[in-house]
Amino acid sequence: MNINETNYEYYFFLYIDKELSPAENTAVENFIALHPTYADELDQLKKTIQAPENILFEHKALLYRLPAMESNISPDFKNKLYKKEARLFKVKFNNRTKAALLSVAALFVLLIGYRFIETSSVSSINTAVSNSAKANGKNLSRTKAALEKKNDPAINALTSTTKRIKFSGKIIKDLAPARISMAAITMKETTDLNTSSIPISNETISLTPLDLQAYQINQLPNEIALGNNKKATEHVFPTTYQVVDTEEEDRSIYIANLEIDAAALRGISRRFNALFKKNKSENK
Amino acid sequence: MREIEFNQCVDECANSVYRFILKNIGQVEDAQDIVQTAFEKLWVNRDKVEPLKAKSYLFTVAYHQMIDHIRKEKKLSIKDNYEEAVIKATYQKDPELKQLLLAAINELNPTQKSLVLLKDYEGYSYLEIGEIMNLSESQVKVYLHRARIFLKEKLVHLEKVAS
Repeated sequence: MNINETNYEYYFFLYIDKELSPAENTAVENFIALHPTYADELDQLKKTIQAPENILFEHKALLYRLPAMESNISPDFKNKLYKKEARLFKVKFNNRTKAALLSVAALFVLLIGYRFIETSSVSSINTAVSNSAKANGKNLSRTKAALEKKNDPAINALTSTTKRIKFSGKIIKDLAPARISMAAITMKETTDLNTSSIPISNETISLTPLDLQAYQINQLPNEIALGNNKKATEHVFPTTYQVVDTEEEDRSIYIANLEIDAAALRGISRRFNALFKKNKSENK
Repeated sequence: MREIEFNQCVDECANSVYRFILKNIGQVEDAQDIVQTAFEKLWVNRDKVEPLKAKSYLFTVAYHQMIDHIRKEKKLSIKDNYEEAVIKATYQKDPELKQLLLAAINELNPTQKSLVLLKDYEGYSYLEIGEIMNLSESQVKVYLHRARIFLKEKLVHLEKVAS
């Protein structure tokens, strides 16, 4: 190493940065001793070195990693510490179970559909009856009072008859006998209740195409031609709803009932079961 | 690296890494976050890092975290609370010279400042500083010498102004 006046600065930097070997350090010190004028320059460079500072990291404890603690807890006690969870029961759906569930679901859907149809038919009849009553200006309250006479033979006849509506000789609807005698009130003149004009026995009402259309759109005519083309002044619609008059003449409350025939339900379920069994056999 | 070696590394390096970062960015909370992140990375990579090189690894990670922080925050200038935090925690034979030197260092660019801090505080060699800062040894030497010249001239100028 040859330090001279042209390269001394470079070695001074290395000297203050402690990048020189001991021999080189000695060479630099000898150069300063021989050339005292450069001593100030070396002192100025030494001033650029920062003094050591004591800055502490306060959160050192957060950095430590603790080794896993050895515990002497017995395995039995450890097991007791675990949270006990409820057992899970796995249900396996085989074909039979699936068929049973599907049949129950189908039955439920059928029940809902039947209920919907029943409600809608009753409500349509109610609408027709209400419209007709309004059109004819009937006095429902008076009619009700008259019909509440349970000994009246006309009312008894109404509740025991079964009506059949035919179109072109084919039965399109069987009307069950009315349970509630008030069902007969709507289309009848209350002032002169003519029992002779009310059919006593099971009777079939035949409808012309026009009548059927009128029936289907729930606008029942005041006069429907009977089988013998005889004009009738009153029409009876057996229903399964109850009419409750309000204080207002134009308003009535209809309470419908749903009857489920147990035998019919069993028949439906048998048919569904047979259907699934059939499918199962087809799969095989 | 096991837990014991890692904890020894915490004892030996946490203060120096924190000081290095704090001196550079001047914000206590951010410096603490960076130190914590550096040690977290060391723990994650403890199987890859040799215990003897853990300190260098910590400084490397902390330095790059700091650069990201500076770029993100765009805080290239030292804030006021920096000097307060540093002055409280330092001891200096010549307080006036310390103040002047701090003022001069604050005018260095981040790379030169890091170079000076790593050299003066931690005593790293040019080669080690180059590894930490992704610089060659000659680059470290040149940048550091430029920084020394700048500091020397600045100190002379400030001393003249002060006197």
